[in-house]
Parts: sequence; structure tokens; C-alpha cells
Amino acid sequence: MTGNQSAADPPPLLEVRNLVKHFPVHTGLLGRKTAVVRAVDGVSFAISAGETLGVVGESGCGKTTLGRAILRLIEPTSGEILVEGADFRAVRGKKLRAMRRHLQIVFQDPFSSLNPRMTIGDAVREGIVIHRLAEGAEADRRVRHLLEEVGLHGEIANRYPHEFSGGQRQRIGIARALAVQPQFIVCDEPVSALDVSVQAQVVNLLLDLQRDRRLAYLFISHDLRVVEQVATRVAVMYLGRVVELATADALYREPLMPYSQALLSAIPVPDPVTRRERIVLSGDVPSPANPPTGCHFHPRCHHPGRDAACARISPPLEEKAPGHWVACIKQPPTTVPWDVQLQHGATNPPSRYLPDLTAIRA
Amino acid sequence: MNERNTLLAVENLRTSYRTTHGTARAVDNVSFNIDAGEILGIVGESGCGKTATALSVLRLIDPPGRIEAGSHLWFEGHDLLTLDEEAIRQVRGRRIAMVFQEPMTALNPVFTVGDQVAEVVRVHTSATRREAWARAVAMLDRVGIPEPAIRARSYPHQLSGGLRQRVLIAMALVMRPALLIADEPTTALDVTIQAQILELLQELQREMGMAVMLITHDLGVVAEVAQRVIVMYAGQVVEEAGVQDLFSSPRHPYTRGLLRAMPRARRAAERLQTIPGTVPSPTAWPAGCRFRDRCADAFEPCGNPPDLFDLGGGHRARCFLTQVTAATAPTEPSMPSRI
Amino acid sequence: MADVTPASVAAFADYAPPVTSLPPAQPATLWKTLRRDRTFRSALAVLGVIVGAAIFAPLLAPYDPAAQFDLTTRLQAPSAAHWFGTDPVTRDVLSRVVFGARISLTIAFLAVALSLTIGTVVGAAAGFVGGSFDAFVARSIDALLSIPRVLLLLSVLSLWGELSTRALVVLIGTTGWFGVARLVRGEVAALRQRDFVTASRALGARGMRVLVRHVVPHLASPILVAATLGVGHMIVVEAGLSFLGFGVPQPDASWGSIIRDGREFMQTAWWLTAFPGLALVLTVLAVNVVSDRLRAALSPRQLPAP
Repeated sequence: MTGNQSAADPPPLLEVRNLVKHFPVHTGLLGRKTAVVRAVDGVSFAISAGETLGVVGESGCGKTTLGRAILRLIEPTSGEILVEGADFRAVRGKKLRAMRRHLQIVFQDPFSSLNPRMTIGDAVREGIVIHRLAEGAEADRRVRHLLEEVGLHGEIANRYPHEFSGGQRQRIGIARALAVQPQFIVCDEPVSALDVSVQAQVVNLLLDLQRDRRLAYLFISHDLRVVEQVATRVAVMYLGRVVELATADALYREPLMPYSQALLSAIPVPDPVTRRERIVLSGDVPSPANPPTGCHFHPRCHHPGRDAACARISPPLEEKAPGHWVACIKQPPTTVPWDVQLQHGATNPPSRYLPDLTAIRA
Repeated sequence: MNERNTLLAVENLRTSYRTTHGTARAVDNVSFNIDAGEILGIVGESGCGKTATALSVLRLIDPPGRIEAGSHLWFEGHDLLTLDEEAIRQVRGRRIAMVFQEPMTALNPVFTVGDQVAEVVRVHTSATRREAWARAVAMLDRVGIPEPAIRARSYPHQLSGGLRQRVLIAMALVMRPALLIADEPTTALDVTIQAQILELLQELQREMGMAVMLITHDLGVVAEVAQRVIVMYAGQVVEEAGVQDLFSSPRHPYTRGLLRAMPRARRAAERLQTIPGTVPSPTAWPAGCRFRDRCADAFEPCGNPPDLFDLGGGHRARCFLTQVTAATAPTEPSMPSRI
Repeated sequence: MADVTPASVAAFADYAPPVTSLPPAQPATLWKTLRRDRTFRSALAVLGVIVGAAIFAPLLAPYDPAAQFDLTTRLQAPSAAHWFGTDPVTRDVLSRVVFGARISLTIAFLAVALSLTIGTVVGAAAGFVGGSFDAFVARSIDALLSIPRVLLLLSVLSLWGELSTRALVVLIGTTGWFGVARLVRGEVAALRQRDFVTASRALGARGMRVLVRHVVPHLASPILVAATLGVGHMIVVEAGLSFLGFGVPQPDASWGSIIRDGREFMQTAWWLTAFPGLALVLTVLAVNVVSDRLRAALSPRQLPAP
């Protein structure tokens, strides 16, 4: 990689530090700023080559904004984005456009992601042309090769998107992203709009490409089953914050954040024989324009230790077990000392709460 | 099955649409029953005809679509297809109700949700405005809307997706129908909200004793909620079975493929099994078995259209492989282990 | 590039793409759709005749439109010699109407071209740049649209008095682009949200490339519709101004000025106003039908979901 740090570890492929994106809400005739929606509210993580970080959460949790903000398709409000140690937020104009090559995106909606007036070939070629990676016959050859790599015929280059099904369009969108030889791809709900059998084809394609090209993915999805399938690590988001970050294994085996527990228990299991306890959350996700104080999740929380301190202390994302980061002051161990919690009205000391979700996977 | 009390019998239903590319027979000779008080899941991918089947049952097929002659929909002693407009209107909403996928478009944005529930009551009964409103509020309470008397005065855009879906369920159930058709009722919702709505539907179904036709693409939802399942592919029923039977011993290769294609526990970064190819176009269904081109186990007889073979115990499958013993089959049909 | 072929290629080798939506309106398919439309065909025929008359006016008009005959032919009713009759100064009304088509249509077409150009540039700039510039432009357009057009035109005209035809085109054109700008701005702002535009930005495309490759091609349809609608509108505006006496300078005459010339004889010599009026109404009607049908044919349609 960069090789400037021989002794220390090389910097990760992508590192995000305290990323924030606030959207101002304008109301009234004069369009005065009356509120901010904290879509992404201080998110940090790192991804290395060949790794998939899954991002899960319900609508409005900020996962899509996070993906776009990392690519600077939406300009972040604050925070750092480091690509192989280089500050991605500092670059402008020509340099920014050149750097975009390394970071690509695959979209959810196969019908909006391709320009209906552009042939498949032109769509895939666009990145090659922009970055002058090849010209003429060589560019044609590359386009054909890319289409074949994503499982399509090379000859379809002259056809228009409307001739293709949703799954085929997703493949074309993936080929377009691959054309500039990126190292990192934001996959924004890439299979959510597809039927189950087609979903599996596209998931497999993404896994194959990752293996062959050592791609890193930020895999955003509301479907926890798909994320479990593809992700090495998973970040659970709730109202703009990461509330749990762990290896997929640890998260699906033993979720520690009460929200993650509820989320996992809500997945319908495709097996009529196994029944299990389900944590049914009351109410809806609050508005990100006016999130609850302290821990955003406290009004819906089912942790038996929940108390007044949860509404006053914003829980830090802390390492509860090696590599397992959780934002909950009631799941021990916590870096928020008990006397501090007491000052904020705590009545219940932290105690480990693990609802029996293991029966699911029996 | 003892003493089946059939509520709806769909017989040879064919529904077709005229398109610029020819006639598309979206539903092609579909027959099945729903018993009173049971939850029947109808599973399939987009374009398999599951929604067209549901709309046909309510006779909500508009031109260029039509239900072809020879189809029958027996319900409470009548063939729904022979009823006049007024009579079918009396069935809709009162005896058979429907919940749609997209709660925002199914509600009228300019009326309060209370008005919309009360309207259903007023259409079907001689209730006064005040009585209808009272019933509406009671129903909104029943479907778990907090502060129903206040929320009844809200407009749809003021409610969250989950609450809007509850309003739709209230509208569908306020007349206590015998059959509820739920077309992907939770697909547009988040997973925790989906759990709430599924719970609610099951609870109301038990309490009111109604039958539910649950249309979904999600096998997980079916496994949790349904008692019996119909799998549709390319306009046809390809398999029908009790829910445990279907998941433990699926007999049609398509059903097996669907089950295997589902992402499942703890196989991170492992390839999923897929069904190759894509669904055929409804304007040109293939001759013979419609799944043949995508089927790894296809053999010679599959060039002819297979019947929906009865396999006993209420299990039916449209596949010739079910008629051959393992010894004569060209390949051992691969049975997935219990999931 | 990897040489490994994913196993999914083989699985995907013989795909049969299902038709999920109709193709984007390509000129050929558009014409195929419209050719079957009878109303559209008749409207197009009417327009063809009128535009043809305007182009070949010197060949078609039986007389010089300014030619005056002896006074015995003054105010003659339609006859074999003068199909549309004659006016108070013995000019042939048919010839005047035919030449009038030239003036009316030329002014309308040029004014539309001008207003579309300004409207598209302003609207596209606002929609594409976004932010406070967009907000400023949007408010300005709303403000300009709230001023009654006729009032605006009359106040400008009363300052200048008589205008040359060229100046009239500029005046009508420069006051007619607000609606176009609003339309284009909306389209561009919506397109900017589409994923393929985001994808192009993510690939590192410059703003200009995104605009030219991904935004502008989608504006053709709405602009085409706006253009046809605009022609009808401009004909009416010009006729109105001419009728009020602010139109093309003498001796040129548009349909509006011909009607103005005949207005005093409405009771006694109906042909002076009826024929130019009919030409006007037919043209505007035909243009509007064409516009309406174009819009219908261009709007994306889906096949019914099976």
C-alpha cells in the first residue's frame, strides 16, 4: 500500500473519524433555519482491503447519508475521512475528481441508477473516459470484459437499460463502478429491490468480485439476513449514531445493545418449527430532527436496568469485549463510572442483559 | 383434514392483460381453497401472478386486464364472477377486505384517518355519522393506535408508516370480514415495525376468526404466520402444502431453490445457492414445465406441462419428479436439510 | 483485471430480458406511436397546410396582398375571383391572410426560440447549481410570473411607440421565458436527484459533463412540448398586440392586424375578420393538439403489472 510506515501498521484503506452530517431544516417564507436533522452524528470506523463492513438500521437511521457523506457526494458537516491515510476531505476540484476513482457506489434502485438514454456500453465506459484509462478499441475491450465479469454478455453494450431486468441492471451498475478499478465500494441496499433468487445471484457476484479484486465494501442494508451473509463486521445504526460495532459472528451470536437485540429478534425465521422469544419494540423510531436526549434509544429500551441516567448520559461507543463495541451504559463493563451515573439519577447499576436469542439459531 | 369448511374456492382462475407485446396471462388456471379461519400464505417472486390473483378475487381487474370465461370464484354460496356490480360492491369491504403494500398511496391524503375508517362503516351500514365515527375510533384503538380519539383526526401524512398500516388494517377489518387479503402488508415497513404488524394481524385473526390470504415474497414471514402455503411461479401454482411440510420437505425444485437462495444464519462470506436465469415473460410462457429452463433436475418428461400432482396429506406439487422413484430419476433430487 | 470467470456467468448465459417498461421515447418509436393517432395526424395536416401557405405565399396568393384595384371591387363578398372577398381599400383578403401567416408564424417561431433559449439556460443553471442561487432565481421567476403579461407588454410598448418586427420578436420572446425556466428548473432539480447522476459524480465527472451527458438529453421531451405549446401562445399574444395596434408596422400585416383593420366592418363585411380569425383559431388549435399528443406520447408508461 503506501509503505511509508515500515514499522507501524499501514493505515487502513478507509478510516472515518467522527463524521457528522447535519441537514438544516428551513421553514417559513424567508426560509430561516429552524432546526437541524442530525442524519449522521459522529460516526467512526475503519475498513481494510478485502473486508466488508455491514451497516444496518431502520429507515431514518442515517445509513444512506453515511454512505454518501463518505464519498463526499453529500458534503459532510465535520469529521475526517482518510483514504490510505490521505485526507479525502481536504482535496478539491481536479484532485477530488481524480481521487473519486478509488471510491465507488452501487445503488439500490436498478431503475434510477442507469441513464435511460445512454447505452449500457456508454454507461460502463464513462469512468474509463473520465479518467483516460483506455481509448478506442482498448476501451471497447475493457467494457466487454467488465460486462462479462459481472455475468453479462459482452455484446449487450449497444443496448439500452430498459431492455434489462432489475438484476441485470444491478450487474450493469456494478460493472460501471468496477470500470475505474476502485478499492472501496459503498453498496447502498444493492439487493433490496430484487427478488430472492436474483438477490442471491447479485450477492454471490459481489462476493466473487471481492475475492478476485480484494475490494472493501461498506454494505448498507435494512435486511439483517443479507448483511449476515456478506459482512465481516457489522455496525448497527440508530438515529445517526453507531450503537454497536462488532464482528458479524459476535453480533449475531450475542448482540449486546438492546436495540440490536430487538432488531435481530424481529427477523422472521424461515422455519415454522423453531419459535422464539421476540422483543417487540413499542412505538416508532423518533424523528432524527428531535431525537430523545441521552441514549437515543432509551424511550423504547427493554433493558431491565434502564433508568433516569439513560435519558441524561449520551452513551459512548465502548469496547465491551475484544473488538465488540457497544453504546450502552447499562451493559458492563462501562467507562461511565457508577458515581457519575448516580449523579445523573441512576437507580440500577449496570448488569449484563442477554435475552435468549440463541434459540433462533438452534 | 377433518371437516373442512371452505370459505373461498378459486377454480381455474385465468386473468390476462393485453399489452403491446401480446396477451400476458398473469394468472393461468389457478385453483385453491381457503378454509374459514385459516391463514394461507401465497409466495412467489414479482411477476408470478400472486397480486393479480388477489385482485381477481375482489374483481378489481381493470381493462386492459380481464378475468377469462371458465374461471370461478366460489364464496359464501355464490360465484363472485356472476355477481352484478352492486352485489360485488357489497362483498368488497364487508365480506372480503384487502390491505395493500404501500400504506401512503392506499390512504386518501385529504381526509382524516378517522373519516376514512368511518366511511367504510357508512358505505356498508345505515349507521349515522356519529355511530360510524365511534366505531372507527374503537377500531383504531383495537389495532393499537395510541390515543385513538385524537389520532382519528390526523391526516395520513401526519402518521408514521407503521401507524398508517394500522389504519389500513382498521379500515379492512372494521366490518369484520370473513376473508382478509393482505398483499405484502409489511414489505414497505422496517423490520421492528413488521414484527409489530405481523403480531397484530395474527392476534386479530384469532380474535375475529377470519381467514387471511397473505401474499408475500418473504418466506420468513410465511413461516411465522401461515398455516398453509401456496407457491406460485409463472402464473401457476407449483406447490401447495402445510407450512411445516413445505419447509421440511419441499417437493418442487423452485420451492427448494427459493429456500436455498435465502440468506441464512452464520455462513458469512459464503456464496449463496441461486436459481439460475430469470423468470420467463408472461407474454410468452415456455411450453411444458415453465421452470424447466432453470431447473437442474429437468429430464425428458418436462417438455410436457406437468399437472399439480397430489402427494397426499394436502401436499401438491407441479413436478414430474414427484412421480418417479429415486431409482429411475435422472439425478437424485437434492433435498435441503432442515433449515 | 481478474481472469476468473464467476460461476454466475454460466448461469446467466441465456437470459431472456422481460420487458418491464417501454423504451425512452426515441424519435422512431415516438413517430410510430403518433402515426396511429388520427387526431394528431389531422392537426399535423392542418399545420402543414398553414406552414406551407406561409412558406410559398408568393406562389399561392392569387394577388399581391398590397395590390389595390379600382374602387368598384371595394368590400366585395367572397366570390370566385376573390375567395375571401376584398377589403375597404380593395385588397384581396385571401392574399393578405396567406401573407399574414408568414408574419404571424415567423414572429411566433422566433419568439418561442428566444424564450426557450433564455428559459432553458436560466432554468438549467438554477436547477443544476442549486443552493442560494437557485432560491434567488426561483423567487425571481415567481415574481415575474405574477406580473400580467399583457400589462408588461403594453407598458413597454407605450414607452417605445411603434416597433420594428425584429424588436417585437425580442420583446415577446424576452417576456415569455419565465414559465419555461420554471419548468426546466424543476426537471433539472429532479434529475439531479437521480442515482445515475450521482453515479456519474462518483466516477469523477465534472459538472459540465454531468450536465451535458446526463441532464440535457432528458430535457428534450419537456422542451419539445413547451415549444409547441409556446408557438400557439405566441401567435395569440402577437395577434392581441397587433389587434390593439401595437403590432407589426404597416404595410406588413399579421393576422392580428388584419382583424384590426376589419373590426369596423364587422357588421357589414364579416369576411374581413372571419377568415383571418379562422386561420388563427385553426392554427392555435392544431398546435395545441400536437403539443398535447406529443406530451402523451412522451410521458413514460408502464405495462400493467402482471
